[in-house]
Amino acid sequence: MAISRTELLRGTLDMMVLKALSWGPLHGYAVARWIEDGTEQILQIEEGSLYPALHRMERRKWIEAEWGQSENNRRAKYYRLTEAGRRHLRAGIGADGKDSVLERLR
Amino acid sequence: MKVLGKILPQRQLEQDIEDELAFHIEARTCRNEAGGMTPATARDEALRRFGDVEGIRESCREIGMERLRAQRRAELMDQIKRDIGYAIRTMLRRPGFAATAAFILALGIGGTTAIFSVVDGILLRPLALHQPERLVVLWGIETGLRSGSSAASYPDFVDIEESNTVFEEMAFWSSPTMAVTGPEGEPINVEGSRISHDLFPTLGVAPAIGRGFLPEEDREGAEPVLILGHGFWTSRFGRDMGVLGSTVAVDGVQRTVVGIMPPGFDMLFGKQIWIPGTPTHATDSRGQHRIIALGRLKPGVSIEAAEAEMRAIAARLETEYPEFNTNRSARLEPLHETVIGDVRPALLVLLGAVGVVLLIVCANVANLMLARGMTRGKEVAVRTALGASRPRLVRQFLTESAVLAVIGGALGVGIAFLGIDLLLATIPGDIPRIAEVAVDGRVLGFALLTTIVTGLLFGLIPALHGSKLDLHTALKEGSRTTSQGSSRTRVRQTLVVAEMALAVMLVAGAGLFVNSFLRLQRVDPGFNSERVLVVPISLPGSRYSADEWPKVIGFYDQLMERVASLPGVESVSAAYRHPLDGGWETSFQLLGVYERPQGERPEARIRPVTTEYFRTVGIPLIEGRSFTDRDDEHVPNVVIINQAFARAFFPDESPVGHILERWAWWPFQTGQFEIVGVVGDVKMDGVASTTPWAMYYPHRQMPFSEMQLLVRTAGDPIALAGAVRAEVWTLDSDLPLENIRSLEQIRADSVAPERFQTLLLGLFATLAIILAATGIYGVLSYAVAQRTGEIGIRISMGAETADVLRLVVGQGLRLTLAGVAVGLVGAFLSTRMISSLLFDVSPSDPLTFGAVAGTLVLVALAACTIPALRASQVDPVHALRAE
Repeated sequence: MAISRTELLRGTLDMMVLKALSWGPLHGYAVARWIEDGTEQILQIEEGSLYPALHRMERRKWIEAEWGQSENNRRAKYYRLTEAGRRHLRAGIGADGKDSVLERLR
Repeated sequence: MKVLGKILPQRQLEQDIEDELAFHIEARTCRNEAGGMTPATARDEALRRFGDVEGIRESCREIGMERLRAQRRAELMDQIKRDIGYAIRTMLRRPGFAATAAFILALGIGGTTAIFSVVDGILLRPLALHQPERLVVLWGIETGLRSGSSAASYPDFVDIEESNTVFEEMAFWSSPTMAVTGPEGEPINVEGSRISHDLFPTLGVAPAIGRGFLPEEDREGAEPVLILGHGFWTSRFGRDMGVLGSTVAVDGVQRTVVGIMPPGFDMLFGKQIWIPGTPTHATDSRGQHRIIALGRLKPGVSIEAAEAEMRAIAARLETEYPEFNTNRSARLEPLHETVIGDVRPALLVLLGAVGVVLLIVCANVANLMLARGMTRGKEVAVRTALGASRPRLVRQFLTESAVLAVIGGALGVGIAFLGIDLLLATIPGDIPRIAEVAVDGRVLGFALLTTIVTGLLFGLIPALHGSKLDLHTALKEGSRTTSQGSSRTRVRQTLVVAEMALAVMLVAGAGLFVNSFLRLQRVDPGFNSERVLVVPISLPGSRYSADEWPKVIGFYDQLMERVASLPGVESVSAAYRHPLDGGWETSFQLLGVYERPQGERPEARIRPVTTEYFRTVGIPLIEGRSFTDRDDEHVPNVVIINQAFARAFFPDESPVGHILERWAWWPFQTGQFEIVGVVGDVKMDGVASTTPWAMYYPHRQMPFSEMQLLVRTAGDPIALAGAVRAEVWTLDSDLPLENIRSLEQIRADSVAPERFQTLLLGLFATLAIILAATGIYGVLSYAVAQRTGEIGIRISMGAETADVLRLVVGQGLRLTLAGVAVGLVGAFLSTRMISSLLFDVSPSDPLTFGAVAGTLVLVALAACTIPALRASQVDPVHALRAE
């Protein structure tokens, strides 16, 4: 295998984050919740590792961030998919039309 | 501002990360509490699920910092792009200014690049050989009566090769001219080299096609072989591969071509063909110095250490062979120096001169930019008011300079291309390595570097000045005499003075060269060069061997008789060699006057001539008699010496009647020659050199086979070249005839390098004068425009035209005189560096310096008149209304 386990995991995590954000802008916690629900807690990762992933993608301009008000009126950082991120997500989904992220997790 | 600008975004970044992570943990805690946990457990559980908070914070911070840096870079690039756009728009608004500045810059950068390419190709670039820095040439030197370098003798070479410890390999060559004859073309003389078989391996080169010489091919009786230079292969054989293995006649011997050298190698040594051949102790005695020895230093051995060992060996040989080696020592020279000869100082002077032109160009363009900067005060004020910081403005101004410099540099490279072609087409003589001069990556790199340095040089002062401005004074409408303005005027005046000073230095240098060249032209060479045709002839040893001297004498007698009968010929003679070719020396002693054993005898030039020689070239007989046709092999041998010889050995008596003794080369010679006459001195080593001692022998008693036919004509000598050539070929159709020139042409060619150098320096000096004059003109024009109001008042108060003229011209004159004064001091200090290149002129020649100062003052005054006249025509009413 050319791709190492951490790279695979990181790629998978990125994909899941992009997938989560494809439904609309979310803050970090909401992204964590979405992944938690979507994968039925299969993904046993530290929630914190989500943030370096988010920031890295922000640097790569796949997503962009903006500070806003959360549901309970707290200051929260919202992430939104950019056009580049959307393209990346589509490429990740693969030619067979299957959602490779979730496929891979099963 | 600067400090905050750097720290603020970073602190913001850290705060954001802190908030974001805290939000997550709190949200999770809330959810845990809602799920029924106690507040403390809920928080612990949230932290546990989150993981290593500290580590995550750190990686987020690193990613964020990277993002900030990228952002800052992008902003800077963006700003530079905008600055460049702005600079181009600003320039397009004043296209005349931009075009002038770019053109001046292009001249400076182009000229410098062109000269650099020549310097690089010849002086700087290592020779295209294997580790060329370890290759040295071994010269024999005379330490006695007269000093000088000479070739080495073969026995000495063998001794040195065997006993030295400093060389890895040694080899040698000697350089006779060889005649190539054969069905493939006209007979032709080529520069050839007789080399040891190991010369090419020692140099670290090999033939591109075929093979090098084998050790056994060095020896007597071996199959004669030949290696061709790429250039000769091309010109003579049209790059025919079939020539390999075929035979070519060289000096009458059929030689098999075994190899062809790679292109460029022949240019390095100026050779076209190579033949093998090691002399033997029988053919080459210790007294015959005709091989040039080459050595490859062992790694780590310095040339000084090697030379010390050579001197020690030479000292030993001196005691072992006193009859040959008395007063002989050795000297080592890097091969590169041997190849390029003495062109280094002249090239460096040219590079220095063009560098000075470039400095003047910088001062000039800086001045133009400053002048423009003064009219941009308001623009700067507005930008400052809108929040542009000083560094920001400096960068903006520098960007404009850089754009200008890049345009100038690009045009300059174009000028350099043209300039190099022009240089190569007009450069005279055989400049070594000239074929290696080309515009390549190195030269373009130099042009780029020059452009950058130039841009900084001329851009920095205007940038610092243009950006320094306080809003208050600048926004005051129409106020021209601000303190700001006057400080900038001072800078501009300083620049003009500097330009003037540099121009004076350059013009003084060029003036010295012109002066030196004129003196060179006026030197009496000791003969009359008008209307004389020179035809070099070399009878090949294969058909005219040394023991067949009557055949040689007969050939020249017949030839002279035939040529004398041609219409338009006044007199004919033959000589070894024409009056401006130094030839070579042999030893002698004077019976009863100066007798010494072999090895300590003095040497003088040996010059066999025919009877009519002195009359044909106009060398006066001072004392005694000239040669007659009766001075032949059957009568006692005679010799005529020149005045320098007579002065040295017969200061108080007549030399006529004394006996000169030397080796007998022909069986009919006794080795004793009676001095029968004294002739005038001839500058045979070139008009700039001292006259060597000369011994003229009648050709019938010293029948050299290589002679030069000298024909004095009634009209243009070149017109007779064809007829003379036909006569030669009637007698012997296999003789190469090349390089037929008039003596006048030879004399002009002998000073061609000096002429060329003087011309080029004169060109640079002219450019410097023009630039300095425009500098003065620019400053005065601005001063007049600035003082229009004041001048208006003066005129309305009754000032005469003459007063106004005096006012303006006076200001210009003050700047000029300051510049000339500084320049003369600079010239005085710097021209001594070129003293070795000057002939008969002191490097601080007062006449030249005076003329240079006078010329520049006159030119500067001329540049002052236009602004002065404009000032005198100021309409007072108009001027005052404007104020």
